[in-house]
Amino acid sequence: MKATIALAGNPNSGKTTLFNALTGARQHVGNYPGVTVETKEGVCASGGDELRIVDLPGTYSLTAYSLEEIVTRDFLTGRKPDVVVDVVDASNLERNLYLTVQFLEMGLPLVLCLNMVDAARNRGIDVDAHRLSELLGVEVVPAVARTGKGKEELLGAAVRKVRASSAREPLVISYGNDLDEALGDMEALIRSRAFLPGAGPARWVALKFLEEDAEILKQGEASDPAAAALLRETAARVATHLARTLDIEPEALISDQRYGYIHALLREGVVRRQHEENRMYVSDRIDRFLTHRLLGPLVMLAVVMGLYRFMFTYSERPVEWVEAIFAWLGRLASAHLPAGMLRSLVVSGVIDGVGGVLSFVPLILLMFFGIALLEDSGYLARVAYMLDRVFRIFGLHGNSVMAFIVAGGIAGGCAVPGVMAARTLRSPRERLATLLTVPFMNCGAKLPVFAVLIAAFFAEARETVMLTITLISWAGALLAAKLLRSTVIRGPATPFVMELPPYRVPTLRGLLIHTWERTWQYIKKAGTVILAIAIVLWAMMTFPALSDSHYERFERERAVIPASASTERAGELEAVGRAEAEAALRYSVAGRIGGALERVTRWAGFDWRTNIALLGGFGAKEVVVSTLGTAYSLGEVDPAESGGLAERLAANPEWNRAVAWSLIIFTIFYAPCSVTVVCIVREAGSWKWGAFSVLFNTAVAFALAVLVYQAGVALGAG
Amino acid sequence: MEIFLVVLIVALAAGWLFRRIRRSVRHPVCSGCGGCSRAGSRSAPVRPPAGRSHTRPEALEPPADGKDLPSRKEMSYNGGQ
Repeated sequence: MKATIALAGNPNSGKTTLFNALTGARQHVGNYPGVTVETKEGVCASGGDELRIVDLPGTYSLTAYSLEEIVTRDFLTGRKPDVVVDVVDASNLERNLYLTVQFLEMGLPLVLCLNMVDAARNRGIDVDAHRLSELLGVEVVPAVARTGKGKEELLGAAVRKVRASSAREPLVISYGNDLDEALGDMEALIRSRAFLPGAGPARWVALKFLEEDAEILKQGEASDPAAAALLRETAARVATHLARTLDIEPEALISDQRYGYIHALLREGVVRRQHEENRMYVSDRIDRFLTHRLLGPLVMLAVVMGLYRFMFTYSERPVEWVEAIFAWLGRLASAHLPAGMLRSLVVSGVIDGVGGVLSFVPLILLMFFGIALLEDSGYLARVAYMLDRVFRIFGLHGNSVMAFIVAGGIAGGCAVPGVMAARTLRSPRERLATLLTVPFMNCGAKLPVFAVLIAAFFAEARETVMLTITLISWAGALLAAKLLRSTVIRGPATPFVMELPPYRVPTLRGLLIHTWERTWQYIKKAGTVILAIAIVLWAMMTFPALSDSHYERFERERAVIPASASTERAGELEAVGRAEAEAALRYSVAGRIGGALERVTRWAGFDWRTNIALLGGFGAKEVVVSTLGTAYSLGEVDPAESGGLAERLAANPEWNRAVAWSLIIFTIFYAPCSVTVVCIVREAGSWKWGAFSVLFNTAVAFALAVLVYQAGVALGAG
Repeated sequence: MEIFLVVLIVALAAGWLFRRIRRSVRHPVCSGCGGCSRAGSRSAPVRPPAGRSHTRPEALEPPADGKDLPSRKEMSYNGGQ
């Protein structure tokens, strides 16, 4: 038998954890709401049956309030899964059942997964699954998705439900005399006209008209305008009556009545509490301190600072080891390959280019470990909660915080899932403002750029500089959002409700999996995309080669140096060799492009090599490091004998702290990488916004870089 | 011989990059910068080997008309509590 099982439920109720447990997948799971913004499919086998499991985005309701709700509802009504597994958090039953009641009202084939029963028991909440099953008329399976407990029973229940295949009568709740009377009339009309048969049962469609659900209203207008007009007329009449008599909107009354139904149900011996309901739990006690209006932000800064300190302190030695391995590889290649283009490609293009990116693997690994720790413990959700207040001032929504954090709010994320996370915003204007400012965050790809510059110029204050970089990127993103929201994307702010999950002690296994998966992606990218770009850029920095007349000139210069064994002669020969390498680089395609831009970029302190690196960074930000590595390696007489990129930059007279800060600022703000731009285009629905993001970000970045460089020079840092 | 080898390597790298760029324009994926664990998850829906899973996220498209969704009370989220 083949069947489709949809996993639905409230945000952060453990759907993705259950999905992973059932399918063996490793989809990202976070201890905060909104991690899943798209449906995911997996396959699992159970007793000879092939089950297609679909993980739906978390929703609190089935209204047309947010995109996740629309997607979930459209999937349930349009794709008609064979069974819906409603994942509910056992410690938060009342609120979770609000969605369950709506599923029952839609008449969906339902199995209830009572998840996190262990956490509920720890909080002194005991749920009688059998009694709940009796009252709701659906199978209820207690489970702990994190450990896989109850997984088999759940699959068994789902398969039984599919095999039974008896149509379920939709649940009918009384919404009071006023609404019930209107619902009766509307239902009769819907049935007689066969109005929107695919949208759900007649009573459900009538309820949606009373709630003024935009999606259903639109579908109704398109399908049968006359019937839709009659239904709207009835809904308007009821709304006027309720406003006059009870001072309430139909939607609020419907919601109240549903909660009344759930409350009555739970009082039938379903939930037993060992403690009083309003008891302060450990999480609440911790939150009084960690989300305190004054202390909270200070703790947050201390946590981020501590994370950076941990990352730099413990990665220092391993980074040196990896650098030493690449230096050894360079010497090995130089010793075994004859001098020429192939050796140059291998040593300067591949080893010095990709090696520069890979040497930061230990640093990236520790950073991801720290982020996984904050994420799995539930602290990141608190960060979002605290930053919501700040975000509102700058015209962004609370949900934007999560997109910012995913994109690298604490250095080390990725702009692509950050852009995708903006889907949780209901207002297109707020979503657009988020899409355009999310790339200002410091993704994992920008991290090696900062790490090289910090190692070369700010080695004594690494974590302070990293924290400053983080604060600059947040300040820049918020100011840009404010600018956009008060000019090109003006519009009202929408309310934000966020559920704070309880703190959980992360499992070592979970932390290691999260850390390794992300670190592996970094390594994989360095070995594929970055390697290919490094090879192409090496060719661009090598061809066309100098003409014979150029080489003859350098040979003549060498010939006039008096023959002796003195160190003075060796120095002079090296100087000629360096001038020759530099002339060859400047003569190449990349050298000419970088040189042409130099006239403008000199204002920000960038030479032609930096220009090439930054252009390459549009492909992927790590390329800035790999290209600088190749460019400075090609400029060396004997690249295999030179130190790492940080050493080379520190020793180069053209580089100083003003240039370093200018490059840091430019890297934070300039055009997003190409994949992010494509994502912005898709999410915003127009190439216009992709182009805007490239031009706007680069203009802002250049203006700030010039400002910083000129100020640095004026203050004597240049 | 050496120049042939170098040209071949560069051409292979450039060709692979071109394909990759073309693919990412059609199906933008996180190209593995480490921020998430979903790199490449938008690959084509292929049936997995027995016992293994395969994931295929589906696009959650914004409303076609680009207009704001209807304004709703905060109450609908928490049921008026």
